[in-house]
Parts: sequence; structure tokens; C-alpha cells
Amino acid sequence: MAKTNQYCVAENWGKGFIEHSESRKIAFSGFPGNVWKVPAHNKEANLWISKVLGVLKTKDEAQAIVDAEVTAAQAAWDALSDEEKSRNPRPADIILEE
Amino acid sequence: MSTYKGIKGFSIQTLSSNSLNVGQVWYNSTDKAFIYYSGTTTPASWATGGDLNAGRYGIAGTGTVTAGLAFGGNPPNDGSNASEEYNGTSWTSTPTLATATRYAVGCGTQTAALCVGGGPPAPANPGLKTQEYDGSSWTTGGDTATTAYYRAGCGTQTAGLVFGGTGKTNATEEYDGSSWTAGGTLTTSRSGCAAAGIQTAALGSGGDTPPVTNATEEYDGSSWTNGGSLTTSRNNAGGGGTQTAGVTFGGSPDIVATELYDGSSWTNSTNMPSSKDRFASGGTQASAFAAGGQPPTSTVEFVGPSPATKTITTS
Repeated sequence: MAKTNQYCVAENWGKGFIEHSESRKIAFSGFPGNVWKVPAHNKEANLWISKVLGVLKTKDEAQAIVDAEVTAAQAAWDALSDEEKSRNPRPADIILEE
Repeated sequence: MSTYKGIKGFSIQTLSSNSLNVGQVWYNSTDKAFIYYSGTTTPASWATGGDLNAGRYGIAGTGTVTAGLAFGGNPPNDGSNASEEYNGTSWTSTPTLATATRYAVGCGTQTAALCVGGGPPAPANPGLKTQEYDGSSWTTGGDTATTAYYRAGCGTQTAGLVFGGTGKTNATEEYDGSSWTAGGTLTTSRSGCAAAGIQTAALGSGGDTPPVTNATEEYDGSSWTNGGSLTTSRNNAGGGGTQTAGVTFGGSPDIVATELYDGSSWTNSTNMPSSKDRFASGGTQASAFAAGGQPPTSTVEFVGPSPATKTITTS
């Protein structure tokens, strides 16, 4: 089965990283660890990955990066005061799609 | 030289702003261009903006995409006094808040803003304090009657409104530029609600009752009534716009959904590129920003859907 999504790691430098013209053509999903999901087999998505110097990752590689970030965030949440915990949910595990 | 009338047999209107009549061609005298509207819509979009200089969550904000303001937040755990202005491209530090705070409320504009309440309770107890910004410095305003953080707020520096907050309160307070008075109580007590509008026509959506809710309420200057429910229940989201053209986005838990309000119901719009909560926000249904929160430094900018007019050229 042809994959639907592709993953890359790219640091969000701020203004210009994702532009409105790109957002209208590509569905972006960002995850912890500077992991980005964009459509596979998509010219506009490939151009964006090239623009941001994205490093392509397999889904499993991307999942490992996200897992490490989420584990660290969960540990940080566990160390919060009860008052802070009551205000904010514990970071949830993230399962990337194929 | 051929003319439009010579080709089509009739002349077209000259308008100072764009028409929304499907199929119409007109001359826009402001832009000095011939324009056509086919009836299609340019979809909403999100783009990344400039990063905050000091990344923080529990940060308050107000203003617009090209004249935004963000202040307070966490870290440090006892609240930040940092304040920054946004020009649509980058954030610049301003003079600091008089009292450090986090999870405060922002209202007004970049040059006439309010920072209301927030935490922590000790030692400075910013929960009761109002701080006013005039574009160059923060000064103290009148104290609120009730102390709370995770409030929602909207309006202006001289006609502000705050409601809800910690303790799952239903309290509403109105500001006249110097003192706060009690307003009508929320139908559903909540904290972490998103706000839009003005003191006499406000919108509050979502929040934690608990549980996290999709309930919306509308304020008319004296009482709250129920509005259309959000598609996605959320807490600590951002918002902007008016009671009849509102927008909300992000929030916890891990919400990327954007929704637009028309005065009676919410409709889904384009998702944020990644989830964000406890951030500073401001703007309108047509143009809004979200800065800081989690993740703590990034800014994203929203452009709402708009009529897809086309400029007619010779090519």
C-alpha cells in the first residue's frame, strides 16, 4: 500500500517556515521534536521539505523521536505541583499515522 | 484603444472597495485594478511567525497580527514580568510589567492594553491587580473585586470585561478605565475559557467546568445566555474577533482545531500546524495570532477564509 504521509525533522525558524500559500496547499502536522508530517507523493510538500532543509525520517524513526520528547514532557509534568497538574493534562502519548 | 464597453457593450462600475456579487467585474479605484469575483473562497490558512524573545506559557496577549502584545507567563514559576510587542514579523521587548504574573488576561490594543489578574497568589498576589499599558510603559489600574487566574477577557482598556477563572467561578467584572464592577454571572462556571468581542457584546467558549466543555455563552452587557456549542471541547484555547464573527483555536488537550463563530454556530476551519495551549492570542476572524504557550517560543498566524477575487490582467 502506498504511504499517505511522509515525515521529516526540520527546525521551525519562525517567520517564513510555513507560509500561508503553502498552508493552503499542504496539510501540516507538527509534533514534538521538530517532527513534521506532510502528504507523501506531493510536489508541494516535497518543495516545502526542500525549502526547510527537512531530513526525511521513516515513520518508525519519527515515532522514536516523538516518543523521546513525550517521555521527557511527561517526566516534567510529573514533577509539577499538584496545583499545576490540576490545571494542565499530562502530555499524552502520540501515535503517528502510516 | 479598445475599451471594456467597446468589447462587452456596457461599462462597469467603479468601486472604492471590492464587491461580493458573484460574476461581477468592477474597477477598484483604490487598488487601480480591474477585479472579478467568481464566488469562490480562498481557504483559511496558518503560517509561522516570529519567535518570542522569551519563551513562556501561561502568557497573556492582545492586539492584532501586525500590532500584537504578549506579557507575563511562566517561567519563572512565580510569574514573569516580561512584555513584548509584535509587528507581524518579529517580537521586541518592551518595559516590563509592574507586577510579574502568569495566567493573566489580556484586553485592548498594543497601545492601550490591560493585564488583569493571574497568579501566583503570593507574595505579590497579582490575582487582584490590573495593569495598564500605553504603548511605552505599564502602570497600575484599579483592583478587581475577586482574585483569580485562568480568567477570560475582552474589550478595551476603558471598557474591559473579565469572566470565569480559577475556583471554577462564574463571576464577571466590568472595567471603566479606573474601577471594576460586578456584571452578570456566567451560566456555567468555568476557567480557561476563550474570549472574543467587547464589554457589551462578548463571547466565551470552552474552558474547564470540569470537565472540559464545548459550551459557548454570549454577554450583552448585563447577562449571559447560551450560544452554539463548539465542535471540539477545549480548555486554555485562544480566541478573537467579535460576538458575531468570532474565532477560537488550539487549547488542551492537544487541540489543533480552529473554529469560526457566526453569532449562532461554530464551523470548523483549517487546523493549526501543531497543537498549542496556554498561549497569548489576539486578532479577528480574518487575521489572528497565537504566541508562546506550549511550545513556548513559537508564533503562528491565522488568515481566515476570504472571497477569492481575481485581478484582471492583460496576460
